[in-house]
Amino acid sequence: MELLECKNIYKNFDDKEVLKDVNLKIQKGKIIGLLGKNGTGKSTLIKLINDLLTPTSGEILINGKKPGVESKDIIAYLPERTYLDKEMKVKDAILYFEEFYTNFDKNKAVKLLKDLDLDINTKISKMSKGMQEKLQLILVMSRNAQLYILDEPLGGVDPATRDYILDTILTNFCEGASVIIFTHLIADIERILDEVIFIDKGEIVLTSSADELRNKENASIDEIFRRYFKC
Amino acid sequence: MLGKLLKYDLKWIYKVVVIFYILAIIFSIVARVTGEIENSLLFEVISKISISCAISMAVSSLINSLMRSWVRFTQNMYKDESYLTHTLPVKKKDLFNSKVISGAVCIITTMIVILLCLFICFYSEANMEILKSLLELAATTYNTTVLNLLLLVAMVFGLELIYVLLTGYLGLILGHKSNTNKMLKSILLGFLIYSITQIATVALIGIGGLFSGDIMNLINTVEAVNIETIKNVMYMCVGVYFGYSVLLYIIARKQLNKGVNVE
Repeated sequence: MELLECKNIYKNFDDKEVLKDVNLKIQKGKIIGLLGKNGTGKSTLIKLINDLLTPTSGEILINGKKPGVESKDIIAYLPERTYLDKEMKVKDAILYFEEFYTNFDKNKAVKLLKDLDLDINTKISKMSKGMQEKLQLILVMSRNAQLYILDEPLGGVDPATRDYILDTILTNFCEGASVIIFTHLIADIERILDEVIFIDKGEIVLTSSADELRNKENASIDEIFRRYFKC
Repeated sequence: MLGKLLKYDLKWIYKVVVIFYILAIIFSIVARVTGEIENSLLFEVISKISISCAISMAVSSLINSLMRSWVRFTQNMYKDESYLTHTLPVKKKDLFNSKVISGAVCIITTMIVILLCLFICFYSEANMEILKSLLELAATTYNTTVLNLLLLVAMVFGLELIYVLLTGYLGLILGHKSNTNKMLKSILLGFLIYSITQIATVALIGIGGLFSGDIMNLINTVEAVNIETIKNVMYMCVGVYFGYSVLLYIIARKQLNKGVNVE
């Protein structure tokens, strides 16, 4: 059974067709890059998978079931925006995750925060946006999930932080789990990808193994992406 | 899971409302203490000002209970925090029930605080005697007991406020189904739902008037209406607001179950 399957997904916003007949299958144990330019429907697709939007038509199945309590328990989602209650302290956010997610590893979260020199008594509103994003990443990666969905985890951060984020992802995702990274910053992540999916104008235009694609085109994924999406 | 959601919702709503409760009670106590001091114009003035402040804080706490419940609903269900709320392994009905219960609990505690403030400000043996005799007179006229009368009045007010709370929630749910001007549409739809239900209430009283000449007199004439009619209308109000609350709750839940479109 596929871990994630999107069948003939369409999403319209009024008259605008944002996703057109998207078909996607994600296997277990893979790191997949869902790559596309800005405004090509990446975020819409991610929101549909996470039950944050309702598809106009089509079906999304997670472990063979429609999005619901069970699917949300196995998906760890890192959105592009900061979603924690700013009035909370770091320790409150940890407690919140511990209370709602049975697969949340509190010790792992505390250790990762310690590595980051982040005091758990700090109020989230007092933290910089970058630190808030790191906190969210730690909370998400401290879950023993089956599918990690990361929306632009490297967006708007400096190269040193990008390395920290990638290391945190690589060293903390659960064995046998899959990771989907939605991004347009390909050069930074291509070394970790098993598979790549290109999305353009709301359609999946390419699905391939990262190595096969590199060998076939004799170029890096970043170069192929630039060629493909040349303006 | 509902209990955990409730804990966070109540904590968020009460964070501000409690401040109004404390201020209302403090002003009530100040009013009471300064009011006890005789032959002092200064303390009399302070007492009167404190009573005004206590009443305004009590009213603010009631407005805040509703406003904070709606703001919490919007932030949690449709703004940035919704990215966490809707990805929690929790049923949609629990998310909604938590919002309804937390709002209702806050309204009820606010009503209790308002009563407490009034008690602190105005309690005296003489006032209690007057109140008691007035209530007994009203209860006798309404052919009921004082307790039943108080319960009836509390139920009418409580249910009306819960109905207003649910009107707001349904407006927000329907308004956020749209892709543009979500907040404006939410407010307009909430107001529209409120207006339609209020018109329907008048229509229901009118229908009641078809079967009871006394109720029809309530609408048609300016003559004094007999007590039994007022009592019947109050019972009707309890039924109508309860019915509206159930109806709005069911529609809101069904709409929410169809899925959300977060911003």
